Order: sequence, then C-alpha cells, then structure tokens
Amino acid sequence: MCRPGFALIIISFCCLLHSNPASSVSLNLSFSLDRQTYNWEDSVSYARDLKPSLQLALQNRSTATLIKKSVFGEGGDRWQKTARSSVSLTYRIRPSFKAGVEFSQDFDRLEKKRLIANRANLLTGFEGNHVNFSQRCGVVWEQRQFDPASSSESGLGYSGAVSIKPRQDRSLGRANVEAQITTLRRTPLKNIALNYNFSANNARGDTVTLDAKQSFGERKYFPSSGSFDVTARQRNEQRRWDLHASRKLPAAVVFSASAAYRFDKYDYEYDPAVTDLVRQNNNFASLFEYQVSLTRRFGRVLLMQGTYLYNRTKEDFGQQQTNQLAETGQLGMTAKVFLLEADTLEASGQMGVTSYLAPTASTFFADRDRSVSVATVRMTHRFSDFLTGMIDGSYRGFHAIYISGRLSANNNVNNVYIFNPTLIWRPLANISLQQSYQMFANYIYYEYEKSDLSGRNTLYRRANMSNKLTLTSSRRTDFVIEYSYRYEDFGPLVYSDQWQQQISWDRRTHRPRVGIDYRPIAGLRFQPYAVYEIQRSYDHLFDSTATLGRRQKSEEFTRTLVGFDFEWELSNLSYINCTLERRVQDYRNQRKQEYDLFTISIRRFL
Amino acid sequence: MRRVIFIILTALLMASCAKNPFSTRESEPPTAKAGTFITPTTPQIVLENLRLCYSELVIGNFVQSLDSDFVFKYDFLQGAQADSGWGFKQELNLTEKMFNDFGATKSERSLRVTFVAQSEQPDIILDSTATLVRSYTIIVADSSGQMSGSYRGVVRFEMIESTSNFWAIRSWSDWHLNLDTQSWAELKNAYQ
Repeated sequence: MCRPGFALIIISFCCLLHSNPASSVSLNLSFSLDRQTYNWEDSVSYARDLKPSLQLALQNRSTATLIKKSVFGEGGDRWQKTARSSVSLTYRIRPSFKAGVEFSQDFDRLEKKRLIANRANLLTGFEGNHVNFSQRCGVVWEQRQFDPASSSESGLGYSGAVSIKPRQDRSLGRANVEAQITTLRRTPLKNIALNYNFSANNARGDTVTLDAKQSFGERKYFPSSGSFDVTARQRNEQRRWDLHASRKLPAAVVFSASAAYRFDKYDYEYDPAVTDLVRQNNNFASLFEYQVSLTRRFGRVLLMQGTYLYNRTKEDFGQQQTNQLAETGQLGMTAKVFLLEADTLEASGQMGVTSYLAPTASTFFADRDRSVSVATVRMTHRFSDFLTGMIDGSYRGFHAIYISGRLSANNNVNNVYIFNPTLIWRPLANISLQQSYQMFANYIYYEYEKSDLSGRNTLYRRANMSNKLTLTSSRRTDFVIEYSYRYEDFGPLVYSDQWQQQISWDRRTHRPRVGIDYRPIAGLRFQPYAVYEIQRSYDHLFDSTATLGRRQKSEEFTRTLVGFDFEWELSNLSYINCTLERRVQDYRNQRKQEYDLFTISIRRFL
Repeated sequence: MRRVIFIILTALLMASCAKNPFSTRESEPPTAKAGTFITPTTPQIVLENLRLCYSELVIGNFVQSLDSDFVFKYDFLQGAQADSGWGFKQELNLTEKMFNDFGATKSERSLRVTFVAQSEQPDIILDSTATLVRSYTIIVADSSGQMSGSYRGVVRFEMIESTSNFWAIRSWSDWHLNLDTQSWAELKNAYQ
C-alpha cells in the first residue's frame, strides 16, 4: 500500500540528482497515516533550458487516498486517485514572443468510476510593455467509465488570456480577459471572464482602489455518474465589484469606506423525460455590503476607531419556502490607550443585529433576528525586564429570536464571560516560566422558560491553569516541563427568586508533559515529547430532599502520548518535516485503545 | 463643491441602506414545543445536537455545531458540482434552505438522521481536537412514516474546542457507502 509513495520518492530523488544549474526542480512529497486512512500528496516540476531559447518543462501533481475496508464495513479497500501530468516544449522566437507544444493528461479514479482527459495544444505567448497575451489551442479527448457503462468523445479546445496595463503605475487601471472553449460533442464548455482593477493615491495618503469582475459560462455535463445516456446544461453568470477609498479629513481624522457587490446566477436545463435525477433548481444570489469607519489618533496616547457595517443578502432558489433575505447592521468601537512605555490598554466593542426574512408571510417559518454584542479588554504591563503580565477579559452575548410561533420556544440568550490572566517570568537568562489561567462561564436562558424548572437554562463553567517551564541548558538544547489542570462543571439554572446553579456533573483533568527541543545544527530540529493525561468525571445525584448532590465517580480515563517532531530546513524553499505519535488510551468501561499517527512531508527546490 | 456632493451622496447611501444595530423584532408566543440543544461539552454531544436539529429543523441550533472555519468535503457528487467542497457560509445557507423547505411541509415530510459508531474507529479526543468517524443513514419519510428517500455513507468529523468556545465541527468529510447509493453530500448539494 505504500508502494506508490516510495516509487514517487525514488523517481523524484533521481530527478534531483540529475539536475544542474541549467535546470530547476521543485519537489513536494507528503504522506500521512491516521489509523485506517492513508494520504499521499505529491508534486514534481522540472524545467530545463535545452538551448538559450528552447525550454522543456515537465509537471506532475497527484493525490491518493486509501481508506481501509473496515471503515465501510463492506466491499474492499477504497482507493481514490487524481493526477495531472504535462510536458511542454517552448521556443522563444523573439524576446517578446514564444511558441510551443504541450501534452497533458488529467486522471481521476474512484473504484469503478474513472475519468481520463488528454489534451494536445499549440502554445503561443506575447509579453509586451503594456499588453500580454497567451493562448492554447488544440485537441481534447475524454474518456469516462463507470463499469459497465463508458463514454468517450473528442473535440477542439481553446483557451486564451489577454491583459492590458496602459501605465506601469496602474493609474489608468489594468484589465484582462480570459476565455475557454471546448467543443466536445456531448459535454461542450464555454467560459469568458473580464477583470478590471484600478488604484490611485496621492501624497497625503488618500487612496482609491476598484476591482471588478464579470464572467459568463455554459457547459453540459452528465448529471448521473452511473449512466452516460443523459446530459444536463448549466449556464452561469457572476459579477464582483469591490470599491475601497480612504481620505484624511481635518482634525487628523481618517475616513475610509468600502463597498462590495456580488451577483451569482445559475440556470439548469434537464431532459423532461428523465425523472430519476438529482436535479438542481435555477437560482440566483446577490449581496450588497458597505462599511464606513472614522479613525483618530490623539497624540501618542490614544487611538480611537468607529465602524459601521451594513450587509444585505438576497437568494432566490425558485421556491418560495427556500428563498431568503438577510440584513445585517453592525456598529463597532475600538480604543487603544498607550499609558506609559510599559503599559498598554486596549478596549473594543461591537454590537449588531442580523435579520433573516422570508419573502412572503406564508413562508416565514425560520424568520429570525440574531443580535450579537462583543466587548474585549486587554491590558499588558511590563513590571521589569524579568516579569511581564497580561490580562484579557471578554464578554460575548448572543440573542436568538425566532419570529414564528412554531419556533419561538427556542428564543434564547447565550452569554459567555472569559477572564484570562498570564504571567511571563524570566528570573535567569536560561530559565523562563509562563503561567496562564482562564476562567470561562457560559449562561444560557430560554426566554419563555424563565420561571420554569426546566433543564434548558444552564450554566457551564471551566477553569484552566497552565504552567510551562523552559530550561535552556545550552545554545542547542531546551528542556520543557508543563503541567496543566482543568476543572469543568455543568448544571441547570433553577429560578427561585434568583438564578441558582444545580451542578449535574464535574470533570477534572491533569496533564503533565515533558519535552526536549534539540537543535544540533542550524536548520535541524528534533523535538521528542511524552504526555500523560488523567481525567475523572463525577455525577451529582439529587434526591427530593437534598439541596446538594451526592458526588459519584462516573468515568475515569487515562492516556499516554509519546512522539517526536523532526524538522530539517535545507534552505528557504526546501525542508523535511516528520511527526510520529503513539497513543494509548484507556477508558474504565471500554477496552484499551492503541493507535499511531504518522506524517512526513518533503519539499525540495533546486 | 465636489466634497459637499461626496458627503451628500455618502449620507444618502447610508440613509437608504442602513439597519439599526440595536433593535430586534417581537416574536409570536410559542405554539410548538422547543427544539433540543445540549451544551456541547464533549464532541459526542455535537453529533447528538446535529441529529436533533435535523429532525427538529432548528437552524439556530445547527449553527452552534459549526466552527467559523468550517469546511465540508466529499468524495464525489452526482449532478452539478461545486469544486471539492464548501465552507461555513455555504453550509449555513444550504442547510437553512433545506430546513425551510422541510419546515414548510413539516406535516407531510420529515428528516431523520441516525449515526452508528464503528468499533474499528474509536473516537480520538485530545486536549482541544477530536476525530469521530460514524456511519450514517438519513431517512426522508412522508406523513404516514413511509420512507420516500434515503442517503447512506460514512462521515468523518474533525472538531475543535477553542479557548473561548465549546466543541464544534471544523471539518466534515463525507464518503459514499458505495458508488451506487446517494450520500449526505447529494442531499446538501440539491440546496446549493
């Protein structure tokens, strides 16, 4: 099962060994194993100047996945492979003009389903100061197979691109047109796309940018993979517009605005005589969005920013019950305070509402509003060169409101509070200690069940503590010792004059970890590690008279992880990475589980 | 003069296309039982929530099962294809359309998802990541309980627990049980 991977490695290394300065080779090899799933992802490209004006290029890109039969419970192992290979020979007739030939093959296989597409093309290319042009024209031959059915067809293919850049500074913009046509008898294809972008700025720093794209396409395809008797037609149209501008106003205020428009339309045609097809409805979607913001800096101490965002999305799916309209309005404020050289305070808040609307009253089943409020505060203080402290606090509130009575029982408020202090100590040059703590609380209230003793109003609490000690024994070696502890509890909120939590369960996890970071030479890194984890869960049992539950152990779980990470960076573009991990885990009420995880990836560029 | 025109145009644009970020609509009093959402404190609960929101058609509960960097991947699709998968926004849009479609005809049709754990594929739950593999069956039934459609396959969920959130699905890979049956990807793709 590992043979394709090994074969590719051997072939690729042969290419590397025979490369010379007149040629360039790029190689990516990646293999991973996770229990019953094996993945290969490889690519090789090789270019060689046979003469100063004659270049040979070879490319291969392939992915393969093997899923063992035990995953599906029937049949054999499942292989899925895709590959694209090409070889081209180009001759530079003049410095700005080249021509050549190219042969390529696409291969796609999943068990008895197979597609092979071969292409032979004549290439031409022109590179001028203001105009670039390239095109491919030739023949296409495609073969599809889904045992026992098969289909093959051939035709002509053309693809071309023209780009125009009137001035180097883009002050008149830049445009390009791309077209693709394939005249296969049963599955022809036509695509054309136009792009235009423009940007300008002045000495004051005011900027304007515009990106626009419009594309049209039409194709026929086989709607069912098991038969080649019927074809369907898809027509599509896309428009994209993005505009951004920023301008400095009096009183050192910077105003910036951006707007975006999207339109996507798909139409389908099926043979009405055929009924057993997965059909898709004609549909279109449009989006309009704008955002405006004002930013002002007050000296070196304070930076303030206010933002408003509006977004409107409309989707027409050809059926009343699936058409949608959504509108969002969101206001945001950010303030950054630089108190002293050693202190930074940053606060930000956002508030917004998104409304989902049905186009007609009869179909407002899922009409809803979603309100979101977010506030965060972050403070950093450097006590000395040896000690730095940080405190993060945040609040997130979500309010889900369903308008229809059929769903409004689900209306709820979901509040999350997080407090996260961190201390970083450097008592000695070779010792670093990082201590971080996190407290997390999540309250969920259902609007129509406030006074009920239902189990749906809940509180979940989590507290994490993590300590990481790094000892640097030499320039090449660090020892890392970590210990983390986690406490969680969960239970319903009971309303009796005020909200009170009734704990249903709690869970405690201890996780010590030791590791070494060893760097014997520049670019080479070896990091072995071992982790032990133990988690105990307790249920809290209540009887009719007890106010506090009786605590009873419900589950105990242990896990040992042993592994290493290996990195070898040969240059900026070449590296070898390898990870191997062995996991053994044991649940009190289940059999012991053991499995391995292995990944290797190689990237080499010469 | 140009500056004044620019400011007026901007103000007009904002006035014509703006939404109050503070006000929400009033809802009708409940006429039906609420859906079920269990706080996802373990990865297995996420699957239970997924199963429940498909049968109860509550999109707000479905959203809470997905991470914002969510991706859906499939092995192949019958019909018109979108590349090799899609992301959070598309998944949310198509599921909302699906729930609205079934919700509008709730008395006539229902959706039921069943997950089965695999003995050869035990759950891998690490500190903040988890991988769960399940085989599944989705039944579309009419008002009399008769099956009008079914989808079968194997699904691999990769989940994460971020420091500021609960367990949620980061990656959802769908595999057909065999090449002749329809899988969850086909059900979703019909609402793309």
